[in-house]
Amino acid sequence: MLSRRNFIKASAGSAGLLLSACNKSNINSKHSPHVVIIGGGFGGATAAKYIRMLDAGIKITLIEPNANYITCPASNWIYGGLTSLKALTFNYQSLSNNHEINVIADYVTSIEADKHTVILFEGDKIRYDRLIVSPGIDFRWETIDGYNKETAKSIPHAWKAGEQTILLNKQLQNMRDGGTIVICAPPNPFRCPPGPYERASMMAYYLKKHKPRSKIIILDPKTSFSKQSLFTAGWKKHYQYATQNSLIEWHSIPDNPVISVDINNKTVETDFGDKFKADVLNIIPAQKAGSIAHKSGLTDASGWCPVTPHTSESTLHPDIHVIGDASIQTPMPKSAFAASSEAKICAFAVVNLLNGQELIEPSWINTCYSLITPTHGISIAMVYKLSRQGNIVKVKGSGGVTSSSNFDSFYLESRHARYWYDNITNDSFI
Amino acid sequence: MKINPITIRLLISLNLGLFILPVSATEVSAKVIAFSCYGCHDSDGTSKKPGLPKLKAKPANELGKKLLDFKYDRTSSTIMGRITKGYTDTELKAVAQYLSQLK
Repeated sequence: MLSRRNFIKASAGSAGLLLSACNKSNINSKHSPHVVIIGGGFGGATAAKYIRMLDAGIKITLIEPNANYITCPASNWIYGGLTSLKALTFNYQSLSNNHEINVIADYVTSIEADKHTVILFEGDKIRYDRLIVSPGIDFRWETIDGYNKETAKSIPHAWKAGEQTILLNKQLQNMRDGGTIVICAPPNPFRCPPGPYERASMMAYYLKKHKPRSKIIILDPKTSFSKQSLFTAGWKKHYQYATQNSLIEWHSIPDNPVISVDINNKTVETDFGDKFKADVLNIIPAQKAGSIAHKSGLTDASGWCPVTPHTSESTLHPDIHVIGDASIQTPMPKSAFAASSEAKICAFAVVNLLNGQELIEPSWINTCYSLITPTHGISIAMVYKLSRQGNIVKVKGSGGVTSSSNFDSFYLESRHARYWYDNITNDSFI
Repeated sequence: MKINPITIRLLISLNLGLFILPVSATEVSAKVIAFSCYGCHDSDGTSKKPGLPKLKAKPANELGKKLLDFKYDRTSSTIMGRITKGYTDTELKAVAQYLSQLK
């Protein structure tokens, strides 16, 4: 039975399709609606580009402090010697020149939600009709005593790509054969669930070739991790996992987590006093939403930003949308792909709202590729839709992980991982 | 009020302008799905190394059949089987139609 609500949605949906094919908010009007976007990562950049694809008349301003964006996806491949920082670096020239997006290289120091204004570090005040906040993550420095912004300059997290990636890679290269790498994995929820394990894989690939007597120890407050059975099967195949000579050890210590670090001795200590000394120490701390979200009252007690999934609009401040890692869009994970997917649905919502149209029916995808070796790739994927109650739900029967019954899959997925990377960076930044 | 499916088809064929979808009203539009596809597949042909198949301007019936073959495991795949199972047959045919018309 077609309820009245669904009838309106259906009729508006069809009309909306016609309208959204070529929206043009009156470009001759002095008052073209203005969308401001904070953050030029996969979320913010994709939102900017896709709003433009949907509406030629909306004024779009993207505020991002860095002139270049260095992607976290594929940054682990640097440890395996498969790529370079240059290959991971993108700028905003195409968004600016080809998509008429006004890109401002500055920080946002505060958001005055009641005045629909953002205030920049250099002093400018920018008024918005709708604001999209995509600030990524910040770290809960207080969770490991002795680990903070300063000490991270010598003990890298490398959980924001760039200088940190180079530092960690240098330490890996300088380590003696027979050395120990300790990776402290973070608790849930965190950016890039398979990330720490792909990092261990890529480091193991490097060690196997150059420093085979070495070892990677992962200390994990979690009892399981993303694509675990595929990772451990791959580690068994390539890195002698679960044998005495294994290059990788995974220690699940949920009741005895790492709580402090001695920076000078590169030694972490757990709650019960167990110590792990490292030659190379990589601490990936617990996380929360990027700082502008906290400053602006967009976060809740969890440290992340609650939103209405259909539109990504903040439940705490109207006319402000939050997407990407900073937002709570469970069951979608915190990944670049998810940020891109959320950005596209948010773009539709913002355009619909500014044009007085019925909202489109959303759907999202996430796909995470990981390399265990350069020719052994694995993936996890999922398709999501909106439930009747307005929640994001997995579509039953869809998604899942790489099938391990077909061994061609691992080689093919290692190729697809690279193609995916080329295409999503093109999709977001060019 | 329950609307008889035959009535729906009659109304559509008579083009009374009643935009009643003969399927679940929560179907996702082809454009929304296509935008998702661009997360892996090159959207506008500017990627220097696209690797994965480009989606635009492929004949609708060919692409539609391929998507359904993926969904029902009539053709092997690494990931497309997992993705296509997230959509109804109607949605898959609609996105194939939409993509076929893009320049």
